[in-house]
Formats: sequence, structure tokens, C-alpha cells
Amino acid sequence: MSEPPPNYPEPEPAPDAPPPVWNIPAAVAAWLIPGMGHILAGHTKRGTILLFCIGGLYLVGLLVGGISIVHARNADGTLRPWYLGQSLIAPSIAIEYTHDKLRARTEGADPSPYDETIAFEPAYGRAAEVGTLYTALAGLLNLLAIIDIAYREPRSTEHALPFGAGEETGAA
Amino acid sequence: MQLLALSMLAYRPFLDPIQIDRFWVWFLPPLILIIALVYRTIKTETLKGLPGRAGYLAFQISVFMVLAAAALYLTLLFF
Repeated sequence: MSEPPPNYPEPEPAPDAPPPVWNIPAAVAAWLIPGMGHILAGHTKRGTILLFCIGGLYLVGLLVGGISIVHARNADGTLRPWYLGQSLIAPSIAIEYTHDKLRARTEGADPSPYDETIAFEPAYGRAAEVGTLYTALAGLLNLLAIIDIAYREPRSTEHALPFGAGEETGAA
Repeated sequence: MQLLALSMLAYRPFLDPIQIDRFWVWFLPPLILIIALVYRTIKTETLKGLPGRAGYLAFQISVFMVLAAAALYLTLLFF
């Protein structure tokens, strides 16, 4: 890059531009429970819609595929990319931990569904596909919600209030 | 039917998967609708007219997916 000419005026920041506000507590709340960040920040309607949509999508995925679809590593030890999406909703970490514990407990047992001692039945086929897709997409949609609540437009009154009661009019 | 009822007796929610091999495709339209609804909820200035906007976005996604599927099918057919 060439240097600007000496008499070139330096661009100055706008004097009335407020610094960007990061709403970290609400972002963490949104990660823990989808939509909770918006609800805590005063956007109750928006948060409720997100809670039902993202939370519902995640629960339906988990119901279809069971807990066996939430695991961080494949059988050969390689990282499972779907888990990156699933872990964008915090309960996935607890579910993955539970899944690991149950799997270790039933290690060596007959993996057939007729064995009553097995703690859970692994998902295969369409159940595994749809369950994984639902939970991973719920996580990715939650990432949008986390970014939305974490960073707000500086000029928006609603966004400038970390946990203030704002109108349902602002947008990222 | 009796076999299905017997299998449901042993079903444990969140521990056992649900067999959806016959009707898995019905899980896709709600997925599109929820993606559209969440996106519009986050991106719109106001929540007025949200169902209509989300429905329109869901329609756009569906059309695009059908067109993409057709294009892929034709690509496989002729190339």
C-alpha cells in the first residue's frame, strides 16, 4: 500500500458516535437457554418466539434421535462436526456427558434393542439424520440469536440498555 | 399395528430413537418454517406482520431448494 499524500486530510471518527455495546450476560443466558437473552434484555415477545422455536426444534430433534445423536467424537476418535452446531446450545454439553456415562456403563453389553440392560438405544438411519439435523440447526439458529443479543446498534436506545426494558422495535 | 403398539410400550423418550423411516420427509417443512420464523424474528424491525414475512421467506426457501434439487438432478442426468 502506498502512503497517502502529505496534505491528505486524516479521516476522523464522528464525534457523536457512541461506542458499541456488548451485552455479554444476555449472550451467555441465550447460550444456556435459547431466547433467554432476549427475555432478560426486555424483548419478551422476541425471546418467547425464539425460546419456543429454537427450544422446540432442539427438543424434537432429541426426541426423534435420542441422546445418542449428541456426541463429540466418532468411534475412531475424530471430532464430529455436527457437535459444533449442537454445542451452541449449552444443554448439549450435559447431554453429551450423560451419553458418555451411559455408554461407558453399557460397554460390552449386547447392543441389540432386545437387551433390557442397555441404557439407551443408538439411533440409525433417518432417525439419526433428522435428529442430528434438528439439533445442529437449532444450535446454529441459536448462534444467530446470541449474536443478535450480544451486539446492538449503537444508536438504538433498546440496544444500549444491557438489561433495560426496551420496546419491541429494535433490530440488529 | 399390534407390533407397533408393543414397540411403543418399550419406548423410552430421549433414550430411544423414534422410527421415522416412512414419514421422515414430513419433518422437513416444519424445519423450513422454523428457520424462516427465527430469522425474521431476529432481523425484522418490528414484530408486526411476522407470520406473513416468515411464511414468505419459507416459501422462498422451499422454491430455491426445489430449483436446486432440479438443477442437481438435471446435472446428474446429462453430465
